[in-house]
Amino acid sequence: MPPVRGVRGPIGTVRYRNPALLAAAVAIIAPLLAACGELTQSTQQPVADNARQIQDLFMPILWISAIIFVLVQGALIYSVIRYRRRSESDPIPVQVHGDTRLEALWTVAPAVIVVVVAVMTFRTMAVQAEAPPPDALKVVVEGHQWWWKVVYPDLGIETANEIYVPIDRAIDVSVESDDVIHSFWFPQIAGKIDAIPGRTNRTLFTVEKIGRYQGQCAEFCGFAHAQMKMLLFAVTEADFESWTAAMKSTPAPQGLAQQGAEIFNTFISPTTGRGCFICHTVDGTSAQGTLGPSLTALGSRSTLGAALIDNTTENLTAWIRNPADIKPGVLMPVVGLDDDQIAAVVAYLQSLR
Amino acid sequence: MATATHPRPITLPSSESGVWSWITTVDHKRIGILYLVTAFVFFIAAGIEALIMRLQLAAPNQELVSGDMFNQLFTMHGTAMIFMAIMPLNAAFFNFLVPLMIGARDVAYPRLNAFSYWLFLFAGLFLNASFIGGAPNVGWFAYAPLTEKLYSPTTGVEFWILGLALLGAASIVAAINFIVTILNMRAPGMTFRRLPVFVWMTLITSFLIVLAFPPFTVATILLYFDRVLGSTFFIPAGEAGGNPLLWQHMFWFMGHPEVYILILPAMGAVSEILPTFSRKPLFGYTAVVFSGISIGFLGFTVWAHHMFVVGLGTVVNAAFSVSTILIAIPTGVKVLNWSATLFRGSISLKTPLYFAVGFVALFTIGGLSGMMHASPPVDAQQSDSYWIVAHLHYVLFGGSIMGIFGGLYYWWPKMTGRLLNDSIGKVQFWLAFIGMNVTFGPMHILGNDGMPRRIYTYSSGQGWDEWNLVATIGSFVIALSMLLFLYNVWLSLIRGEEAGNDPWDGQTLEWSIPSPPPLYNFRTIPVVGSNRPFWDSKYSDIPLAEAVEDAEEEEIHMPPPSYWPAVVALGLSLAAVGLIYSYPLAIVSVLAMFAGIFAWTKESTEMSHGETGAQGY
Repeated sequence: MPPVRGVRGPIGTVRYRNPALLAAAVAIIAPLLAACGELTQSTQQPVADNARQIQDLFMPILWISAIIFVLVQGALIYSVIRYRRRSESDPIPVQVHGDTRLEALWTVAPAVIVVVVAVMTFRTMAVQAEAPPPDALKVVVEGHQWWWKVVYPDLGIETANEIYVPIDRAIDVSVESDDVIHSFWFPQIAGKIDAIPGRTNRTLFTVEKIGRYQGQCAEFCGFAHAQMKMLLFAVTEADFESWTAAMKSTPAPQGLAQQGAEIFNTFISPTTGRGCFICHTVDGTSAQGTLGPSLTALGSRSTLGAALIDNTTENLTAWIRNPADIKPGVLMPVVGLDDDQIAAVVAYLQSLR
Repeated sequence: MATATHPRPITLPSSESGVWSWITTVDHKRIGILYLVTAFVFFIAAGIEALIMRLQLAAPNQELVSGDMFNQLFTMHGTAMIFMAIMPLNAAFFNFLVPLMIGARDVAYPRLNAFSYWLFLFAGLFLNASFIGGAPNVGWFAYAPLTEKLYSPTTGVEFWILGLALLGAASIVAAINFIVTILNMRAPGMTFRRLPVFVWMTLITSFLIVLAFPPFTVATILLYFDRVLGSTFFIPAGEAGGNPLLWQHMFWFMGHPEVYILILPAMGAVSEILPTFSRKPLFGYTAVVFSGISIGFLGFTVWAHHMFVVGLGTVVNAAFSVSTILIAIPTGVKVLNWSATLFRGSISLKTPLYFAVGFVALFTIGGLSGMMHASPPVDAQQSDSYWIVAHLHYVLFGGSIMGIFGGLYYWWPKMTGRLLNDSIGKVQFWLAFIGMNVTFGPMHILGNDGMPRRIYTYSSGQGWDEWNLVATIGSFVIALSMLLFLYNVWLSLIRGEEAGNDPWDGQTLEWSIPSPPPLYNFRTIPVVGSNRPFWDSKYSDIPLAEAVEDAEEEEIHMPPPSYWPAVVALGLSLAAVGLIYSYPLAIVSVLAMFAGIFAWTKESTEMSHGETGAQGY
């Protein structure tokens, strides 16, 4: 991460300025933070059915491999040491050209292993190919260079980079792409699935543990591929309900935030010809741009820049001032706002919860 | 030149020394050495690219290189290691050894052979020159639509397309040459059941190249059309009617057989080294050869296992999973036959054997980790993670590069007449062996911990920091091993021990002639009576070269040197430069190429008589 003063990574406390909303946020976020401590992307710590099914398939194959490994390396080491030439006058060994029975044996042995691995694989594939249950929550995730658009088609919610899902409910994710190929991967939750322009891929999982999980684009997608992350918040059904309610309400900005809204919705920089609303949408306002991520309820997100930095006043200010300082290659340009304008826009965006 | 053991032949072509003799050479041995030196230089360059990447990743949040430069580095590292290092290093052995091992005086098309080399050289320089204006930065797999003009506006992708088209052409031409040579130019008695395993693997590899590269070349041309002419082959449905997955199918139809193109020659080298240093025949010659053939065949049926997470569907994934896991059978057969070759042998613990055993040990690890992601659900976690980086380097470094070094230590005396130092060689082996395990072993863990490939930076606190640092340390141990090898080469060239004809008590024909071999290889073409002709001539009563006396007066015809292969290759390569920077240059270059081809066809292939004396290099 580039050295921007005051920028904090996604690990650590999320800061909330508004006391009333702080309480609501703490109610949801605090147990999550307590639950996870450090974020991991380890496939060895599955928290959802999909990833655990894979883990349960991987481990026996790993053990079979370990046994083969020991046998082959053991045979090699034994032969080389036991049959090393001790002096140049050692006799010429018996000239064995082969042994049909032995060779048949070690053609059949790998074949048996192949069958075992294939059968185990097919059983897992059959389980994972099952159709989603009718109560599954539908989520559409669309990859963009270098962020994720997240849409809940049945709830009429659009957000970005942070996915909220209820635990113990099947999540039916449609994975798409707007530009190049990306890959949707939360290692603790499910195997990856590519986001390919012109196609819709599906993945299905049920998160079993409340927590905040980190994912990352897994298919090379250009300059900022390394910084195309995302978060998944698995919460209780009740917390999910309050989150969806919050996402649908459009707060009326006050004071500085109202000035910020004005700038956000109408201002075009005379020097750069750019403005916030050209690329961004905030639901319930006149800003309906679609090139960049939706900023609806940005104030309630915990991170910025595709789960790159914490959503703090300093970070948001630094981001708007020059996004490429924080995320090299990012497609968001310098808009050309002065410091007062940036402060107002930051206040506005933070008021969106 | 150790020609003293043979009578001087009656007539020979002139073969001057100096630069021009190398530029005009059509001698397969000299071309082999040119391949070796050139490919090794590209190998070192691609290795330096890897070291820069490892430094960048040694700790979280480093800024040694920019994200874009990192993307250029891994694109060029992969592209160069595959097409400009391992393939031509293998070609160096094919060139030098195949005629010697089958008892021939040269390859079937000597001038075409020279053309392959020059085209490879120019294409390699061309691709590396792309760093000046921005190297390709889309990965060696160049997935559409990232490669389209909209997303990759720099000329790097053009360099990649044209460079690979040239390298592909060089490889196809060389492969045809080796197929024809092996099919037609074997010495009397050298039946297919007596063909050395290395030659068998060369033949299989050559067939794979001829079958795999043309579809890939078509794909690169379609991509070129997309970028330059505005066609939409790989631009997706809704917008233009193309399909980005079409690229993946066409790419991996080359890309997976390519793995076997890279590994089969090393398997061949190991299949020569283990018997020689065990003083035994290869255990199960027929099984090893048929395993190679079935690996080559199955290699064309598994390409979609690179696409398990693109959403092809359960049935397609299951089918490609089965074909992929099936490769474990012939591979397992080979590994066990190699082990059985050592068993109850009289094993001479020399450097080539170290590398050959190291090959079997490390390739086994790569094979086992490969079996794991042959399972589509497991691959859904491992695909595009560092697990794959670990796996492919166990196959390509632990496999191909170990095999190549084994081959270098084994055949270096035949190429130069001098041995490489055995003690330094063993130290070099251990540095390479330990270094590669320290570098690539931890990458299995990183992959399991969810670290994706091709990221130029990562943040701390994900459990990745320590293992990345370990991997970086390992990569410099490998670098040290390579420096030691160059020192050993230098030492051998200035005061290496004289090798003599047969320093290892060899089994195959190349050890029956002087080191380095005379221009014409065999004073008289040998008659082969077994699949270990030289061994049997030493240790049993099957004699070699019965026809020696009869051939005493026969003239040896060797092809004369020619300028035109280099001219044609240069014209073709400059045309690629012209396509990027200046169409007039492209036209002039193509005209020059055709002039070269015309001169080539008109050139006399009669050898110049009157000059005598077998000259080496």
